[in-house]
Amino acid sequence: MEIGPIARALLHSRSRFLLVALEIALTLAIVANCLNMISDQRRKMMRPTGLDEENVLVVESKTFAPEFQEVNYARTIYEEDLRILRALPGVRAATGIDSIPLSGGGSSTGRRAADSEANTIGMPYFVLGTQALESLGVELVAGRGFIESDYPPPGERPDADPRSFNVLLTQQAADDLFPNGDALGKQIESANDGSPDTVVGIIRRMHGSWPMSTLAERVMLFPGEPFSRRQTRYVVRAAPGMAGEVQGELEETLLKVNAGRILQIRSLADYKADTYRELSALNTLLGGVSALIVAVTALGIVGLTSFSVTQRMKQIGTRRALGATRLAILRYFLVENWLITSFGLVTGLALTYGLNFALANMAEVPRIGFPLVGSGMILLWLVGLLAALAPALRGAAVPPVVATRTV
Amino acid sequence: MLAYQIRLAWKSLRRNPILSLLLVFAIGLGIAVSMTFVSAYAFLSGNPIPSMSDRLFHVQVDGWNPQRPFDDDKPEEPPNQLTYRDATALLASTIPTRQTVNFKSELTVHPAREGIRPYREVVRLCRGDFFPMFAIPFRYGGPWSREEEAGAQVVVLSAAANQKLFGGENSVGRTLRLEDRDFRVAGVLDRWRPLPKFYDTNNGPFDQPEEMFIPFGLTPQLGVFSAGNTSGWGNCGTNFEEFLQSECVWLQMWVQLDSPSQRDEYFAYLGAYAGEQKKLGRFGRPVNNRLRDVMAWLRFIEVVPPEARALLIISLLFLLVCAVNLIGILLGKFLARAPEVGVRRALGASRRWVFTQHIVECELVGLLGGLLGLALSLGGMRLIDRLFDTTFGFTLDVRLFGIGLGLALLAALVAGAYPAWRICRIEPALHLKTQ
Repeated sequence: MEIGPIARALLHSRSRFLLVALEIALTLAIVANCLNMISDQRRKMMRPTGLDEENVLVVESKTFAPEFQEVNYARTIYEEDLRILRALPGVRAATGIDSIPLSGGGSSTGRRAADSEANTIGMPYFVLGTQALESLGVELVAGRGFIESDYPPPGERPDADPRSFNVLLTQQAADDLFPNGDALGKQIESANDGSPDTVVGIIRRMHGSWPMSTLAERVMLFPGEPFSRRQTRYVVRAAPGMAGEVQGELEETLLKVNAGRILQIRSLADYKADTYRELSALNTLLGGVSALIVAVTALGIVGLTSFSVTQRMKQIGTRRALGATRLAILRYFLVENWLITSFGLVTGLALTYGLNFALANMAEVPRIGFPLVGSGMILLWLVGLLAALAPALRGAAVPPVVATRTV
Repeated sequence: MLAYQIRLAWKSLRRNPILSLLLVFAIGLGIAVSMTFVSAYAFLSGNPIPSMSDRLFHVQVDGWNPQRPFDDDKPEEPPNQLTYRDATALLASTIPTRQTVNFKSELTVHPAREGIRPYREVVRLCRGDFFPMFAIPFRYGGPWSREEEAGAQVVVLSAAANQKLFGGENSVGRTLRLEDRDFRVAGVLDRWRPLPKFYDTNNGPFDQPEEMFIPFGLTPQLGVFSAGNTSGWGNCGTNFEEFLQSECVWLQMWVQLDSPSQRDEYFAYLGAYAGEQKKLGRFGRPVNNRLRDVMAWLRFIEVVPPEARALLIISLLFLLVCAVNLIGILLGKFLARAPEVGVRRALGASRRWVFTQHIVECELVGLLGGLLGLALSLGGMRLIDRLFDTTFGFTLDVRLFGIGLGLALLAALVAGAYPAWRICRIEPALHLKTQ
C-alpha cells in the first residue's frame, strides 16, 4: 500500500490535518467521558430494586374530617380500608406502610449488633402491617416473614417504642451488621435503649427510601400499625396486568369508606421515575451533546476531505491517466483520512483520561474503563470513514481527461 | 477604515452564502450549547437576594449527640437546623434588626369556592420579619403585625394561591379555612421566585416557595410536624409536646445583622447561650456556633450540583471543538482567495491590513453566530426546564447576553487567527504569476 507517499503528502500540509486530528482527539475525550457518565447512571437506574415496582400502588390518605382526630376512629378506618382493599378484584395483597420506598423521603435510625461496643450504622426502616412482604413483592431468602404474634398491641409504634420486636433485614443490612453472615436469629440494638430487636428473616433485596444513596439496599422492616390521625399510607399490590384497573377504582372505593380525606394514588414505578428524573435528564443532555459533537466533527471531516479532493483534481486526473484505477484513488483518500483519524484518536486517549480525571475530582464520576474508550475509538473510526466516503467517491469519479484540461 | 473593512467582509460573506451560513451555524451551535449550560449554571449558582445577602445570617448552634457529630463526613460542623427549644430561646435576643424562625408543613385547605375539593398545601410557618428581611414583594396587604405574631390566625397567600382560591382579586380581610380553623388573609404576595430557595434548602433547594405563610407562633396549637427534614439522635418524643421539648432539629433560623459590630455582638450572644446550656448540662459538645451569610451558606451546603459543573466544562469543550472545526473551513476559504490577496498586496496593502481584514470577517461571523446561538440557547433552556420538570423560567439577562457574545467573538478569534496569519504571509508574486 502507498502509506509512505500518503504520509509524506500529509506532512506537506501539516496544519490542516493537525487541526482535524485535534478535533477528533477532543471529540473522543468528550464523547468517551459522556458515555462513561451515562453508563454509570444507567447502571444505577437499572439496578433491580427488589420491589414489584409496576404492580405496587401507593395510596396516600390525608385526612381532614374532624372525626379522624379520635385515634380509635382512625384505627377503625385503617382496618376497614385494608379489609376493602384486600377484597378488591385484582388485588394480591395490601397493607399499611409508614413511608414510601424509592420516593426520596423516609425514616432512618441507628443500629448495631446487640451487646457490642461498635458505632451504630445508619439504618433506613419501614413499619408495615400484616401481609407486608406480599404487598411489596420482595423475596425472603432466610428465616420467616412476619406472623400474627410479631405485631405489637394496638397503639404502639415500634420505631418509638422501647420494647423488643421481631424484625426483618435485607441481605445488605444483615451483612453490614454481621459481616460473618450469621445475622439470622441475632439481636440488634440502638445506642441508647436496652431492648434489642431480633432478626427473624432476611430479604434478598429491597431498595429503601433513598435509592440514590449508598444506603439504598440497607433496610430494616418493623411489624406495626402504621396509621396516624393526619395521614396514612397503603401499599396495594395488583395481580400482573391489573395495576391500571385497580388504580382506577381505588379512590372511589376508599372515599366510600370515608370521604373526609384527600387520596393520592401512584405506583412505585412513578415514584422511582421522579426520584431518577434528574439522572435521566442529565443522561439525555449528555447524550444530546455527544451526538451533536460527533455530527460537528463528521461535518469537519467532510469539509476537509472535499477541500483536499478539490485541491488535487489535477493530480487525480494525472494519476488516472497514468493507469491508477478508481479504486486506487478512493483508497488513497480513505487511507489518508484513516491516518488522520488514527493520529487524532491516539492523541485523544491522553485527553480522555485527563478529562476523566478532572471530572472525577469534581463530581461522582467513575474511572473510565478501556472497553468504553475503545468503543468510542471504533465509533469515531467508523464516523471518520463514512464522512470521508462521499467526497472520496467524488474524487474517484474524476476522469483522466481533467489532467489535460486545465494546463 | 474599519467601516471599509466591515463592508469588504460583508461582501466576501455574501459571495458564498452557503459557506457563510455554515460558518455562522458552526459558531451558533457551539454558542447555543455552551450558553445553555452557562446560563443554567449562572442561575443555579446565582445570588438569590443581592440587596441583602451579606446582611442575612443563618444561625447554627451545636447541641447534638455528645458521642457523635451531626455529620460524620464533616465532624467539625454543627447540625444544619435548630431544635424548637433553642430556636424559641434565641428569638428572645433584641440584637438582630430582624429575625425569623421557620419550617414548612402540610395543611388541609378548605376552599370557599364551589367545586374545589379540600386539598393539602405546603405552608410555611414563619415570623412576620420573614417578608421584609427577604425583600418579598406584596401585591395586596402586607405581613401580619407584631401583636399577631404569637399565634393569631392570619395568612399570607402567594399570587398563585390567591388566583386559585379568590380568583386573583384583592382578598385581604377575607376568610380562608385551614385545617379546622378560620384564617384572615393579611396579604397577597407578588411573583416571587428566589433561586436557589436559600432560606430552606432542605428537600429541593430549587423548588418553588410555599403557597401560604402563617405565624410561627401557631406551631404548638396546630401541632403539625415539619414536612421537611427532621433529624434526631435520641428520642423525638411520642407526642407533639414531647417533640417540641426534644433534641430533634427541624427549624431554620435567619437573622438580619446590618453591621460587623452587630454581627460580633450577636455571635457573642450565641456563645453565651451555648455556654449557659453547657452549664445546665444540656449541650454535651464543645461550643461550636455558626453565622453564615446567604452566599457562604449556599456554598457550604453545596447547593450547585457537581454535575452542573461537569456539564459546564463539557459544553465549553464543545464550543472549542466547534472553533477548531471552523479553523479548517476558514483555512480553506481564505487560501482559496490567495490570488485576490496577492493583487491587494501587490497594490500596496500591508500584511497587517490583510490580517485585520480577515479577522474582521471572522468577527462578523462570530457576531452573527453569537446572536443565532443566543436565540437557540433560549430553546435549550426550555428543554432543560422540561427535562428536569422544573419551572426555573431561565431567561438571558444583560450579563448572560454579554457573556454569550463575548464567547462567540472569542471563538471566532481563536478560529480565525491562524488562517488570517497564513493568508497575510503569502507571497504576492507567486499568485500574480499564475493568473
